[in-house]
Amino acid sequence: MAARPVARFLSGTALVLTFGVALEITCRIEDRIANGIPLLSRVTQPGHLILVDTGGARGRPNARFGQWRMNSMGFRGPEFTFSRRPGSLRVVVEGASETFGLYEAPGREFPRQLEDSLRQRTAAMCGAPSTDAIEVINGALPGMALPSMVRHVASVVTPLHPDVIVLYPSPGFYLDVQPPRATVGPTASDSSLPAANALRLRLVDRLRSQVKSLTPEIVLTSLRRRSIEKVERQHPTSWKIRSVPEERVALFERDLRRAVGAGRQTGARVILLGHVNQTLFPDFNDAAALVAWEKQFPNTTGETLADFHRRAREISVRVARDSSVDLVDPTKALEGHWRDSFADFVHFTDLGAATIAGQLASYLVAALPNTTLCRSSSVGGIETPPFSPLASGVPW
Amino acid sequence: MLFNSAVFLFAFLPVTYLVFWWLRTKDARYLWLTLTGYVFYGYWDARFCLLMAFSTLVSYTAGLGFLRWKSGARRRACLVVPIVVDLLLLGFFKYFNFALDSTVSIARLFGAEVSPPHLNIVLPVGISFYTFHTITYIVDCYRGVITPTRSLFEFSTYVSLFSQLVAGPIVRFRQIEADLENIGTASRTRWLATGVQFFIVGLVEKVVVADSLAAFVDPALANYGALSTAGAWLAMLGYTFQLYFDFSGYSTMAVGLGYLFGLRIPQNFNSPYKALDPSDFWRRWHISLSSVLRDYLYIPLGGNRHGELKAYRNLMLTMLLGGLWHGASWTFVAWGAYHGLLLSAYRRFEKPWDSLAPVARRGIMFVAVLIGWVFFRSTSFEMAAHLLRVMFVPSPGALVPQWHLALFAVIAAGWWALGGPNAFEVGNPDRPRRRIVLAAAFGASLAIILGARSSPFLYFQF
Repeated sequence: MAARPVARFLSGTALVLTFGVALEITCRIEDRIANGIPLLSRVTQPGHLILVDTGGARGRPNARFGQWRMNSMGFRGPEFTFSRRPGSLRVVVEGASETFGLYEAPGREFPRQLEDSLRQRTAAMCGAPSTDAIEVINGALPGMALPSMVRHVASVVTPLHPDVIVLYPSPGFYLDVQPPRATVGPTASDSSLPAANALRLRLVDRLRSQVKSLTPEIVLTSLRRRSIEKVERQHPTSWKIRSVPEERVALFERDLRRAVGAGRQTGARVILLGHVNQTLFPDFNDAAALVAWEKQFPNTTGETLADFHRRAREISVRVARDSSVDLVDPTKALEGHWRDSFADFVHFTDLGAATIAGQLASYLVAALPNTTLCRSSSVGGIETPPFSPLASGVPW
Repeated sequence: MLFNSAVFLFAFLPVTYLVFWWLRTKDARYLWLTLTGYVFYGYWDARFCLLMAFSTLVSYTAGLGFLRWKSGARRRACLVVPIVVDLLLLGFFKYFNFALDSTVSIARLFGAEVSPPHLNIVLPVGISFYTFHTITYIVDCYRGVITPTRSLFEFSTYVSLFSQLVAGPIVRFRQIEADLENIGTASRTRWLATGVQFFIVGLVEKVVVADSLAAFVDPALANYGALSTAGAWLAMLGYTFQLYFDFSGYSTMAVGLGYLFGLRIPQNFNSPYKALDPSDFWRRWHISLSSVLRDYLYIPLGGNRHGELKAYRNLMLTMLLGGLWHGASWTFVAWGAYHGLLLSAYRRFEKPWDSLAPVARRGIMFVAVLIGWVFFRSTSFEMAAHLLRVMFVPSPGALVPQWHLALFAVIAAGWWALGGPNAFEVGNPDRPRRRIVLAAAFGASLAIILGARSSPFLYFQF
C-alpha cells in the first residue's frame, strides 16, 4: 500500500523535472539559433555586456544577451575595422541606454538608422550608389553617465579617429542617491564573468518578462508605487529630493563641458544632441509614466526628474553656445507623434529612433561640406593602424 | 487571443477550466462557455461580438421556427432567411472589396474607367467558421437531421465555443449535440489525459514545428524574386509543412481543449500528405471543411448522380467555392480550380492511377499538392508564375536564409508528416513513458512561447 504514494511521488517528480529540463534546454537552443547566444553563455544580464577595468567601462567584446549583440570590439552594431578608407566619414555616437537601444528592433536603434539615413541621403545628393564608406558607430553603453563617457571617449573612441562625435547625455543619473562618477575597475585586465553564470536558469527571465507583459498597467503602477513607498519608509523624509538640487545641476554642467572637451580632443567635430523625454511635450499627462520613472530613482519625485531634465536642456544650449559646438534639438521633430516615439519615459521606439536619426542626418548633411560627404566611394590606403586594441576573439 | 499565447495558457484557460468544473448545472456551464467564448473573441475586437451575437440569434430563432412549422413556406423561410443573412454578412465583410476590385478590373478590360469608393472593411476574425457553423445547423434542422435546440445558451455555446470559434474545426451541431446535452453531468477526469495529450501534441506542431519553419519560409517568400531553383523548392517544401503543422496544430489543440470540457470535437487532419490520390487527400485535409462542402454543396448540386459531365461540373464548382472560402483573392480561386482539376482527372483516370505502386502515388500526390500551395501562398499570379518557373526551370539565385537549419527543419517536419503518427495515432496517454515525452514536449513549447516568438495561426486570415 505504501509503495503506491511513493511511486506516484517519483513519477510526478520525474514529470516535473523533465518538463523543467526541456524548458531550460529549449530556451538555450532558441537563444542559440535566434540570437547566436552560446548554450553556456556567461552573460546573463544586460549589465554583463559591459566590462570595467582600469581604463573605465567599455563594451564586452562578442558579448550577447537577448537581442543585444556586441561586436568583436565591444560596440553594439556590425563589425568594422579600425582602419579607415581615405575619404570615408566616421561618426561615433556616445550616450546611455537611449542611444544604445533598448526597445527598438535590432538594427533600428538610432545610430544604425542614422547610418542608413546618411548613406541614402548622400547617395541621392552625390548622385552615386549608397556607400558603406559612411559609418556610424554606436559607442553608447547602458547606464553610461557623463563622467564615464568622458573616459570612454578618451580611451575607446579616440583610437577610432572619428570625424564626428555625437553626444547624447542622460541627465537622470544626476538625481541618483550619489552623483555619477567614472566607473573604474580594480584590475587592468578583463574582468571575466564567473563560470557559474553559465548555469543560471534562462527560463526565469522569460517567465518574468511574460508576467510583466501580462500584468495590467494599472496593477504595475500600483506595484511601482508600493515599491517606491517601501524604499521611502527606509529613509528619513529629507532623503527624498523634491525640488531640483542646484549642486547637481552644476555638476551636470561641469561634466557636460568635460565631455565636450574630451570629444574635441579627439579632433572630431562635436555635436550635442539635446535630451528629449515624454514630459517635455505640452500635452503630456501620463501620471503612470512618471511613477515608472520615479521607480528608477526612488530618492526623487517624478516631477523633479522632469524639471531636472528641463534644466539640463537649458544647460545643453548654454554649453553648446559657450563651446561653439553644434546643438541638435529633436523635440520639434517629435511633436505630433511623440506618443508613438517613446517606449517609456525616455527610451525610443523604432519610430522615435527613426525621427532622431532623420533629424541628425539632415543636420549633418547640411553642416558637413559636400566634398566630405561625396568623396567616399574610392578605396585607398589605411589611415590608422590595421589592428584593434579592443578586439578579442573570445565569444561570450 | 491565441492558443499559443501566454495570456491564454496562464490566464484564460486556467480560469475558464476551473470555473467550468466548479459550476454544477448544465445552464450555468452553457452560460459560462458562452461568456468565455465572447471574451476570447472580443479580445481582438469587441465590436464584432455583436455580429456573432446577431448571427447566433437569427439562427436560433430559425431553429425555433423549425420546431413550430413542420412544412410549408414558413419553414422554407426559416431555411432561406438565416442563410441569406449569414451569407450577406460574410459577403460584405469578406468579399465586398474583392468583388468591387474585380468589377473595376473587368470594366478596365473593356475600356471603361470606373472608380467606385473602396470601403475600409475589417474582416472579423473567424467569420468564415462561425458562419458555416450556423448554416450547417440551419440546413440540418431543415432536413430533419437534428432537432433544433430550445436552449439559447446551448446554441450560443455551440456557436461561440472558444476552442473552435476562430479557426475551426467546423463542428456540426449533431457532432457534439450529445456531449452538449450531457454537459451538466460530464466527468472532469474521463477525458482529461486525452485532452491534455491532444493539446500538447497540437502545441508542439504549431509552436515547435510550424513556427520554426516560418522563421525561414516567411523571409524567403517575402523576397521570392531572389530565390534560386533550390531555394524556391526549399521554401515551398517548408511552406507545405508549415501550413500543415500550423493548421493541424491549431485543430489538434482545439480538439484537446474540447475534451478538457467534456466535448469530443472530431478529427480535422489525418496525415494528409500520406494521401494516395486527390480524393484521399480531401478525406484527410481539413476534414471538417471538405465534408461540409461535400454534404452541403457537392451532393445538393447533384454530386455524381447525373452523369460524368455534371459530376465534373459539380466537382469544379465545389472546389472553386472552397478556394474562394479560403480568401477573397483570385489566387485562392485558382488553387480551388487546380484541386478541382486534380479531382476530375483522378475521376477520369482512377483505374490506371490506382494500378501504380503506392509509393509512386504518394510521391506524385505530394508534389501535386505542393504545386497547389504555390497558388495558395502567392499574393499575386505574378508571384505564383515566378515561383513555378524558378522551381521547374533551373535558375541561379539565393537559397533560403540559414539554409542548413531550414533543411534540417524541413527534413524533421517531413519525417513527421510523411512517416510519423498524427495526433490521433499517438495512442494511450496514460503510459508513463508517454507522459514523460509529453512533459518534455510541453516544456519545449512553453519555452518558445515565453520567448514571445509565437506567431498567429495561418488560418486566422480565412
